[in-house]
Amino acid sequence: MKKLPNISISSKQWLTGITIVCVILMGISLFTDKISVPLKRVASVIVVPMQKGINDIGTYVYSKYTLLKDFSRISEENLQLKEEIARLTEENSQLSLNKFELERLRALYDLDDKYANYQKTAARVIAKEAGNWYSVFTIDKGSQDGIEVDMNVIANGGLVGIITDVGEDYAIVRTIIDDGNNVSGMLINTGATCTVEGSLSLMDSGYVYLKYFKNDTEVKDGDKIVTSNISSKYVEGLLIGYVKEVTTDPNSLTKSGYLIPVVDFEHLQEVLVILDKK
Amino acid sequence: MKRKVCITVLAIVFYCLQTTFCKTIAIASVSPNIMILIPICFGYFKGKNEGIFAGCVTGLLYDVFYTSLLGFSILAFTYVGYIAGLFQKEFDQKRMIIPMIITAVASFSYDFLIYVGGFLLYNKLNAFYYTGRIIIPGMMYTLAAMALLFRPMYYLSGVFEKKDRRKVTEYVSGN
Repeated sequence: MKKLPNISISSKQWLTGITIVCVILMGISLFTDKISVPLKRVASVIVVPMQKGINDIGTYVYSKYTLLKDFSRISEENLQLKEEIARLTEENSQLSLNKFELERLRALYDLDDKYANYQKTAARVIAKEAGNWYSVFTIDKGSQDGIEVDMNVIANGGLVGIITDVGEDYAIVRTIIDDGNNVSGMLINTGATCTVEGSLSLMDSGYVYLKYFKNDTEVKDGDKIVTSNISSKYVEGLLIGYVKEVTTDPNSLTKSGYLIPVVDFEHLQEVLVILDKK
Repeated sequence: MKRKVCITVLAIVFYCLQTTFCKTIAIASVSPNIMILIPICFGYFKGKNEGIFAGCVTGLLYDVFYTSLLGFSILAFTYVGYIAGLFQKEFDQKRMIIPMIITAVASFSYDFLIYVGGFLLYNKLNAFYYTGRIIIPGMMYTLAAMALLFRPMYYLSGVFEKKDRRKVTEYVSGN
């Protein structure tokens, strides 16, 4: 067999080549993310099943661990719960009577149950961003489950974030606490609008910024903030969190403070994706 | 060739671990960056070319899903691998001080660059807060991971070395 000519490329040449390619790649990705689509497809075929697997193992181990830890507590709790069931059944029959009345009155007022009938699908968190800077995670459902970019994600009855990227069997969610992420919100009782802004510098407190209330807005601690009707990407009326320490800004035109999110972002395992887009 | 496959597989495994397991063991929301250890180890054990290759593969994986600026981590990790490769002649199995220093410097510089590109340019000027809260803890955690993984990584790079060498000797004796 004829030997191939031995072309040797020195490591400095490799380095220069890669530098040039990377700079070009970065330049292109400033304008479009089309270039990474095939890469993502290839990588997701290998990576996503592995992440799902590791995640399954983790969940299994964790559930066994908590089961062992909680066994004695559970049996005690079981007794208490049985008592509670008896009490609740009684209460329930009473409430169902009230419900009839409520429905009748609702029909009278023509109040549709506006938010309960969004279509949702449940998904599990399988991976989080590799570095420590951004609050972004991957879920195990993608375009084949009907998920699209810009769909809203909720959990524990509160807003988690928004889908920024979708593959066949995965989707990437950017949370509302991610640094620099803005959500348009409003006070549930008065409809006064504000902006909810995530910040890495508040990560220890667990809060996010609440900005741009008009100065004449009446707002107090514990008021509920929901996604606003003027938001272009978030569907209306999803609970974001509760107001904390809103004060007038030095410019005397706006008020700002903090918001305590409803969602526990540290221990997020399952989320719901709202399939209706705004 | 075999070691290139080995590096690729290792990068994929480390990536999966970093996005799942490492996030579970995060202390105060800071997790170790085990991906950066691959170019450091292979550069340091096997030289500049291996370091560059390992940096390329890990950087590409790092970038593909979560970075908006595709190419940034490839570039950073490639340089990390190259620089680690410069120290290959100092390689001594028993002394860990050099790879630890490389890891510290690499981890710090990489995170600091992300801070500059993703935060400083967006008017978040409090560099001391970000350095103290994220960069330094991340670096310490990565160093701890390096201390734990140094020997396994050395073993892994050696396994494929032996096989490659045996093949060469077979080839030579066969002719």
